[in-house]
Amino acid sequence: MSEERWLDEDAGPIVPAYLLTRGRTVPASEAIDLIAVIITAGGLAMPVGLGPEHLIILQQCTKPTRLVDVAAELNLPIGVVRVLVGDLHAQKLVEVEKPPPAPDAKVMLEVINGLRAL
Amino acid sequence: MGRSRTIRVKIVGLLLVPLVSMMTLWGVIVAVTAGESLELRSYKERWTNLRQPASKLIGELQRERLSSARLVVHRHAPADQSAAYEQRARTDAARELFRQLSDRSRGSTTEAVRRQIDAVLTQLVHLEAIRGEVDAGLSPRLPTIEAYNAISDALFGLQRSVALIDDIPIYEQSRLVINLGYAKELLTREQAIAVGNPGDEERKLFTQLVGNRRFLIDQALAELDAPLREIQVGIITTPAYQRLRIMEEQIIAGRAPADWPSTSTALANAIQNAQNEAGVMLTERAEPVADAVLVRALVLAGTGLLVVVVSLMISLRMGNRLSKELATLREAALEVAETRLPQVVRKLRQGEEVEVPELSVPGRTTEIADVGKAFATVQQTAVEAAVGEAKLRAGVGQVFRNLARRSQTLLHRQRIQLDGMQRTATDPQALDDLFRLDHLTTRMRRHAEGLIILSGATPGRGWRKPVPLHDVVRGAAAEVEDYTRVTVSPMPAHSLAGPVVGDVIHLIAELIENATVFSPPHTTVTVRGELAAHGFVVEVEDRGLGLSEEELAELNERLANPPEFDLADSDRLGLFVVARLAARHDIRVTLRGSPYGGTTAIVLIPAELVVAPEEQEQEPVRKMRVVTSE
Repeated sequence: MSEERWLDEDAGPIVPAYLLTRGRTVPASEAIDLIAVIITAGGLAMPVGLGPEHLIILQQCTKPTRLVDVAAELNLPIGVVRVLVGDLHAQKLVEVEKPPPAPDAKVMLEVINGLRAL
Repeated sequence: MGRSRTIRVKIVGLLLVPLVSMMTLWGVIVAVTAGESLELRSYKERWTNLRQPASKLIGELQRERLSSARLVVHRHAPADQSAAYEQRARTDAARELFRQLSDRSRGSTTEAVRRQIDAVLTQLVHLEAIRGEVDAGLSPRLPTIEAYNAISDALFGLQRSVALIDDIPIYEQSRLVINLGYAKELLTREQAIAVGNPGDEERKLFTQLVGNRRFLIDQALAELDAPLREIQVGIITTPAYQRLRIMEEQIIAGRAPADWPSTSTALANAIQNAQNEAGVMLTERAEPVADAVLVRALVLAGTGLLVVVVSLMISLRMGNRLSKELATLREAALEVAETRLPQVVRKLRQGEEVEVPELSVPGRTTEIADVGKAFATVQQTAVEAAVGEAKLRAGVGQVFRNLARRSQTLLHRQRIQLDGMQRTATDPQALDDLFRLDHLTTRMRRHAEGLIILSGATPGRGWRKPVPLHDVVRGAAAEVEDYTRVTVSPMPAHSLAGPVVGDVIHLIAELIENATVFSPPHTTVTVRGELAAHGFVVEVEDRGLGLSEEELAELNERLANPPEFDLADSDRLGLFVVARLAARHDIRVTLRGSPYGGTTAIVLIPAELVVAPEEQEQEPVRKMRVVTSE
């Protein structure tokens, strides 16, 4: 077998995802939806007891950003970002705006029928 | 307990015995030869101190005997009396001289000669008694003459013993000359007996004396060599001697010739002169003989000395050479044992090539050369064995490295796979399982990398760009089993130079691992990072039971001077890896007690490996390329 070398990015992330959350997979606050919009609530000061990734999220969410977009920007699994945002939310550093509740089936059916009637 | 002595001392001891005996032998030979020669040299001295006074004394005694005979025969005629007294005075003078000179020569003569001297002195004591009896008219002619004869005989005995010389021809001639002297003695006895009118008794004795005298002369003439015989022949061919013979015949026949006393006295004097002449001649002859003996003695002594000196030099040179050869051998052996072999082993351990020069011990002694060769072989064998061991070690290392590399490659792929799966997982439970798998994989990778580091190679992962130290420390924490207990405090945004990232992660991971293992499960391990004057400091602090001062000192010593990797001591593997990695990058690791009672490991990363935040180009740090395996 030839010797393989993996340099820089090829070497993989130095800090594995599980360390960022200390192994947690469930957010500290209530479940945060994929399309929930995150807005920085407090300042941009380094949060106590939290890591640089938390700071990046705070910086990014000065304008409302959806969770999926945060995950894409950080290049981290959604599950991990969800826990991180949960940490910030628990410390009231961000506000999580729930997406408008999905319309129920009856309304949907009415809309469909209305469209058909056009 | 035997004291060990150098071989030189022993060789000298070995040579000493034969040399001393040789010197002794030489000394004895020289003493004997020199003694012999000195004895010959003393021939002359004996001549002056013993023979001359003795013959003078003999002459005086002969005359006194004649005068005493006359005194006895002529019934103390006044003329005879005064002549006798005068003669006694002369005899006493001669006796005194003899006493003095013989006493002087006593030290340089042999035992036999000394006995003869004593005999003469004893006889001389009787002289006074004889004279007393003569003066008193108590003694008749013949006993008086006999008494004198006894003294003369003792003196002749001395003469003969003094004539002893280590040269047979001279001795023989000397004896013959003494015999001639005795012939003269007999003639003077004839004179003493023939005084007045000799009776029958006297005539008979006279006849005997004449016979003996003639016999002695005839015998001497037959055996004397030419120059000495010449002197004697000069006497017996004179008309006076012929007349003497005729007169002797007449006396035997009972007639007393009127001029007998004067003729016989003249002849006796002539014989005495001839004696003296012969004595001088003999002494002159003895001298070259003595010189020859002395020369011989000197040559012998010189040769002996030369032989002794030469053998001494040869012995010393051989001993020297032998001890020099042994010293060379010793040095060569010590060099092999104390310098060469340890050096070879050290070089081989460090993985260097060794070239050992052939050991050559110059030895002209077979055994020493053999020992030298044996040492060369021993060195060769030892070096070969060491090289073989090093090769084996390298081979084993190669095997480990290959196996570890294979594992690392597979684990790397597995992690990429897991990363992809983590991204698609939406269910927290599924993500949790994936996290556990990822953690296990990370730990397995760490062990594989540890094996690669131990075998002296660099792991497959590598970085060229600087990596934030915070990430480095967290990456290290992630590799530890109990990572949830580890708290990484915020630290300055400095980065670590890319090429050392892998090793530093490994180093800190080992320290964090130690900290978690040696502290209770409910406590935390804190990792802090600070800038320092000499670089960047990472502190790993646990809240365990801590270590004693001695243990800390010992561990710090091991960290500062990593010992040779000991396969038998794999319990301390972590520490060994830390020390080796630290040494590789000039990083200092120290352990000390923590205020919390546990232990703090302090890692000082030198400033040249630390990059300040403004120095590095702004680039998104976390950009991971997802490589789908296969």
